[in-house]
Amino acid sequence: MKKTLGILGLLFAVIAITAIADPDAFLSANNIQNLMRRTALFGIISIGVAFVIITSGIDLSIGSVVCLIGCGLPYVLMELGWPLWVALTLVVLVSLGIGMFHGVLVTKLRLQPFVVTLCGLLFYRGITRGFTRDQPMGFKDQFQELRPLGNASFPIDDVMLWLAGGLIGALVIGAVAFRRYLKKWVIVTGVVGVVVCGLGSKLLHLPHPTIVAFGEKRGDTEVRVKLPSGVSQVSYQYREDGKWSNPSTKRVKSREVKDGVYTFIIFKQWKQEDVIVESVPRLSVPAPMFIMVFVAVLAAIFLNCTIYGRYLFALGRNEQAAKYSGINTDKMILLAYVICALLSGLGGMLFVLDINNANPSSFGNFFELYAIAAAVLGGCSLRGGEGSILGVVIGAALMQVLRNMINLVEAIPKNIEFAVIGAVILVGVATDEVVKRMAAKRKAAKEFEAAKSES
Amino acid sequence: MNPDDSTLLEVRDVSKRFPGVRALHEVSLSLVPGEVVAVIGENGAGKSTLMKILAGVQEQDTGEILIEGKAVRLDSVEAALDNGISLIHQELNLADNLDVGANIFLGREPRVGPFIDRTKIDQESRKYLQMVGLDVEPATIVSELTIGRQQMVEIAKALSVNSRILIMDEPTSSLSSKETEYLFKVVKDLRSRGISVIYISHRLGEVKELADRVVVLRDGENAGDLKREEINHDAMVKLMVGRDISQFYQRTQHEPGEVMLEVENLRTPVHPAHKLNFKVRAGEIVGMAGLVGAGRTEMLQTLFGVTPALEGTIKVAGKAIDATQPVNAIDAGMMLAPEDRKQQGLVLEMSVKENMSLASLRRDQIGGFLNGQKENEISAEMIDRMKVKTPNEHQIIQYLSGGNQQKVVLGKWLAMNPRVLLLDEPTRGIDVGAKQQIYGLMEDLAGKGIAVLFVSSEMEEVLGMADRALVMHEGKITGEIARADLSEESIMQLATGNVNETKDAA
Repeated sequence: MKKTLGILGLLFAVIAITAIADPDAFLSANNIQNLMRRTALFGIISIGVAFVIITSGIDLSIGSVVCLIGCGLPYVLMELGWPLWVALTLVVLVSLGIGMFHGVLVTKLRLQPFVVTLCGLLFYRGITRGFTRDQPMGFKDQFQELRPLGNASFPIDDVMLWLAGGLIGALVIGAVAFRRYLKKWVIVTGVVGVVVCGLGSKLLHLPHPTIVAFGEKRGDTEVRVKLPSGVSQVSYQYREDGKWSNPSTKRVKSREVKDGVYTFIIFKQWKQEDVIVESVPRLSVPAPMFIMVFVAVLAAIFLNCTIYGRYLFALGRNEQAAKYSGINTDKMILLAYVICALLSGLGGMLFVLDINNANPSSFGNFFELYAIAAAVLGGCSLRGGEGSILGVVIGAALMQVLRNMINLVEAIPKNIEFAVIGAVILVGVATDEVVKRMAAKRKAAKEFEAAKSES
Repeated sequence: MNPDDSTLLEVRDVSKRFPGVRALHEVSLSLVPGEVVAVIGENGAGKSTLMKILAGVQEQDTGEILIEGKAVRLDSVEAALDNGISLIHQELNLADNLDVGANIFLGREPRVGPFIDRTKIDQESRKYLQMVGLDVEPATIVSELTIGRQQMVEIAKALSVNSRILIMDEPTSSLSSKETEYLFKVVKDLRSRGISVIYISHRLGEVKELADRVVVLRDGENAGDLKREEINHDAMVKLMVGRDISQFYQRTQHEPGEVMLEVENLRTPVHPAHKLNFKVRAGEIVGMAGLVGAGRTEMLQTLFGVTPALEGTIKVAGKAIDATQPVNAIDAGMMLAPEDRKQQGLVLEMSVKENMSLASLRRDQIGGFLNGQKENEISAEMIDRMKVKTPNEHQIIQYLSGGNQQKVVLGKWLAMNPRVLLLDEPTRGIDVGAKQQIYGLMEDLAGKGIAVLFVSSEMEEVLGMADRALVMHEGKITGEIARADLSEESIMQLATGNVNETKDAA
C-alpha cells in the first residue's frame, strides 16, 4: 500500500511538471484521451505480466504475442476472409495455447522462464513476419462493428452518469445481499462517489446545438446552429443510402459565431432529416479504458479475494513451502502464464483495432519491457510474491505520462526517451529499496534496544 | 576451574546478542594444552555462537578472550588462525573440486616466482597427512574421498597452519562407526602432541569416551562443568536440560490402536537399493533415529509425495494413497512438518495468520473465494492452543523465534485434523521452553489417537519420546527397538550399520 502511494505521488509529480511546462498541449482533451487510451492498452498487458512476476517468473514474449495477434487478426479476416467468430475464437485459442506452452515448459520441464519466453519473443515475431510476408496488416474501413472496442470513446458526462448509477446499484445490491461487507466506510465512500459522479456529470455535460436554419449554398449545405455556451467543437453525421457516415468534427472559431449562432458548410447537398449535429464532449473516455478497468477489477478480486490469489503470492515467495502445504504449485504457475498470454492477446487485438495498421516487424516491439517496467514500478518484485493491481495500473499510467512528457516538453530532446524512462524507473526502484532498508534497520535497532532493556 | 599459568585459552564472561535473542550471557571457558574439552548443550544453547566467536566469524559484544594470558581480539578468521585456532566445520569447508594438496595450502600456496610450487605442496602435504594417518596422495581430488577422509584433510589443513586449538563441531554426525573410531584415535594422538581440542557433540557416548572435561551450556549460559571422573550420561543430561529428564519428557503409554500408516516395499529415489517396510499405529509415537544422511528425511518426503516413490505402497488408515504430490497425502490425513522450517515449512514473508491458514484455505473456500471469517477463527484458535508468542496474527513470521515458528507449522496441520503426523527434526533450533511444549503436544496428540512418526538426530529426544524407534543406516531400516530396550548404545549400533549384533531387537 505504501508502495502504491509512492508511485502515485511520482505519477502526480510527472503530471504536474508536464502540465506546468506545457499546459495547453498536455491538458488538451485530445492529449488526455490519448493518454487514457495508451494507459489502458498498456495497463492490460502490464496486469498480465504482473501475474507471472508474482510467481517469480517473467514473460519476455508479450510484445511478440501482441504482434502475432495484432497482425494475425486482420490477416485472418482480411486476407483469408474467415468469419469473424472463427477469427475471435482463434485469437483466444492461440493466446491460451501460448500461455499453456510457456507454463508447461516452466513447470514440467523446469526450464527458466527467462529462456522460455525469450525464445517465445523470437519465435512469435518470426512466425508473424513469415505468414504476413512482412506486409502491414489492417482492416481498411471494414469491421466497423469490431473496431469500436479499440477506438470508440464515450463522453465523460455520460460515463459519470453511468458510474453514479452503477454505484447506486451496487449499494442497493450490497444492502440486500451482502450486508456483512457493507462497512461504514464502504457506504460513505459509495455515497460520496454517487454525489461526485452525479455533480460531475451535470457540470461536464454539454447540451447539443439545435439547428435553426438549413439551406443550400453553391451546391453544398449551409447549416446554422444555436450554440450552447461552452461548446467549442461540433460534430456532424449525414445519412447516405440509409447508412450514417462517421462523425466529422469542426472546431468553432469565434468569427463564425454571431449572436450565439454558428454557421458552417457540409460538403454536398443534404436533406435536414439526413443530418445530425452534436456538440463534441469536453472529454471522452476511450473504450479500452473500460476494458482495462474491468480486467483490473477482476484481477484484483482474483488476487486478493480468492484462495488462488493467495496461492500465487505464497508460491511466489516460497514455492517449496507452498508445495509442502498441499498447493498444486505447477497448476498455479501454469495459470499465471495463461492469464498473461490471454491478456497479451487481448492487448494485441485492442492495439490493432485502435491503430488499424500493424507492421509485423515493429508492432509491439519493446511492449514486454514497458509492461515489466510498469509492473515493477507498481510494486511487483521480480523475486516474486509481491504486487498490487492498482499499483501496476498506476505504473502503466506513469510510463505513458513520462513518454508524453518527453514528447511535449521542449527542453527534453525526443531521442533520449529511453534514457529518461530508464532513469526514472531506476530512481523509483532504488528509492524503494533504500526506504525499505532504512525501515528494516530502524526495526532491528528498536528490537535490539527492547531486548537489551529486558535483561 | 582454576586457570593457572599453563592455561592456553581463556574465555571470560563473553556475551553476545542478536536482535530479539540473547545468544550468550557471560559465558566462560578455559583450556590447557593437550586437553580435550567437550562443549555440550541442546540446540540453541549457544554452542555454535561461542565457537563462531572463537573462530573469528563473529565478535562478542562484551567479555574477553585470552590466549596464554594475553587478551586477543578475534575479529576475523585470519586473526583466529594467527592465534592458532582452527574450526573444523560440521559441513566441511573444502573445495571438493580441487585436490588434497591444493586444499591444505589454499590461500597460502608456496610459490616459485609467480608460479605455484607444486613439489613443495606435495612434500609438505604428505607430512601433515601422515600426522593424521591419512594414506592418500596429495594429488587426489577431494570429492573422491569419503566424508571421514575429507575430515582428516581438514584436520591436516589445520595442523599445517600450526593450530594449537582445534574446534570440532559435530565431527561424527556423518561418519560411520569405523570412521568415528579412527577419528577418536587421531584426536587422542593430537592430544598427546599437546594440541587442545574443543569438541562439540550431541553424542554423549562419544563425549564420555573422549573428553577430559565437559562444559555444559544451557540457554546461552554456563550450566556447569564436569571433571573427567564426574562424566556420566545422567549428569550431562541433567545439566543440559536443567531438570530431571523424566520431567522433561512426559510420556504415558497409550494402547496402540489400528494401523494408521503402513509402508510396504517402499523404494525412495535417493536410496533405491532398499525396500522400506514399517507400520505406525494410532496413538503411537515412533522415533526414527540414524546418522545425518541416513535417508530419513528423504523417506518422509517420499511418504508425503514430495519426491514420489519408485515402488511400493503407502497406506493411510488402511487406504493406499497416490503419493505423487503432497495434497494427496494431506487429503488422506497425513501431514509433514518438514526439517527445513524456513524453506519448506513457512512462507517467511507472510503473516502468522496467512501461514497458519495456508493449508486449510482449500477446505474452507467458498467457491474459490477466501473464507476470511473461518481463516481468522483458525488462526486465533491455533495461536491460542499452540501458545504462539506473537504481538498479533498479522506479524510477519520471520520475526518470530524458531520455537514459535515451529508452533505455527504444527498449528497449520492441527487445523486440518491429521491422522498421521510426520515430524522431521521437530525441535531443531528451538529453545528449551518451546521444546517442552512440543513434546507435550506430541504426547497429547498421541493420546487423541493420532499416529506420530518423528525423525530426530537428538538421541535424548528419541530416548525420551519414542514408544519404539526405527533406526536407519544408509537408506535401510536396520532395526526396530522397543521402548524397554532403547538406549544410546542400542541405537548407535544400528545407526552405524552393525545389524547382526542387534538382530534380536528387531
